[in-house]
Amino acid sequence: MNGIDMIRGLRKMPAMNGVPIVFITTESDDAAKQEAKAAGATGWITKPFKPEQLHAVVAKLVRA
Amino acid sequence: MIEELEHLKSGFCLPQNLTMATVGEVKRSFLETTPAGRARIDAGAVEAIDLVGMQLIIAMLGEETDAGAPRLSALSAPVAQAFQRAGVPLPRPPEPAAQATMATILTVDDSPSVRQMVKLVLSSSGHAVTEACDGSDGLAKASAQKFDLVLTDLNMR
Repeated sequence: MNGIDMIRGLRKMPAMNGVPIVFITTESDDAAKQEAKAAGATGWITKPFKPEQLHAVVAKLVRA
Repeated sequence: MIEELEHLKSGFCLPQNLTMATVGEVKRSFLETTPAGRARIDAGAVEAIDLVGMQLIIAMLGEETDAGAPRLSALSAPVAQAFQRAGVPLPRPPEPAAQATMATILTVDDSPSVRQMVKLVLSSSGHAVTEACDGSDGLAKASAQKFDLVLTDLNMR
């Protein structure tokens, strides 16, 4: 199962209500981002990424 | 609302000079100058070369303890020498991330090396990281446990 289908599945789970979902991808075209957004993704990180970017995502999305 | 997250700055203390470019430089030096690296080249295995890169990251972040959390330690000698040969400053040991929010995080990727990197980086700040190898596994893990954040690949086999 790919990430888009998983995100759709996660968003059907009551326990996942409001939980941020961030995708990490080499995909740079807007179509994939829009599809993931429509599926329920919160944001994305583009590969290659730095370790501090992971920390930034956690700090921004989990602390809220 | 969807956001571009890649340009965010972090208040955490992982080595600021630990970038993918740095790792690439060190990896090149490591591959060219160490017996283990030469063996990888001789074997001609591109996947193995990528693994060397991941091993460098692991070595930089520290060894894994029995509990699975990285314990910070000095660089191993071959790795430190590879840094020097590449002309790249040695990374600072990470400082304790005292202000880190403990979170339970699910990382979903069909690449074990990506999952390992995510786990190492985030568990070094005290987060609990669970791995899933594809979308189906991710759904199963999310059904069994509550997570604060999901990090996922999009294109998985």
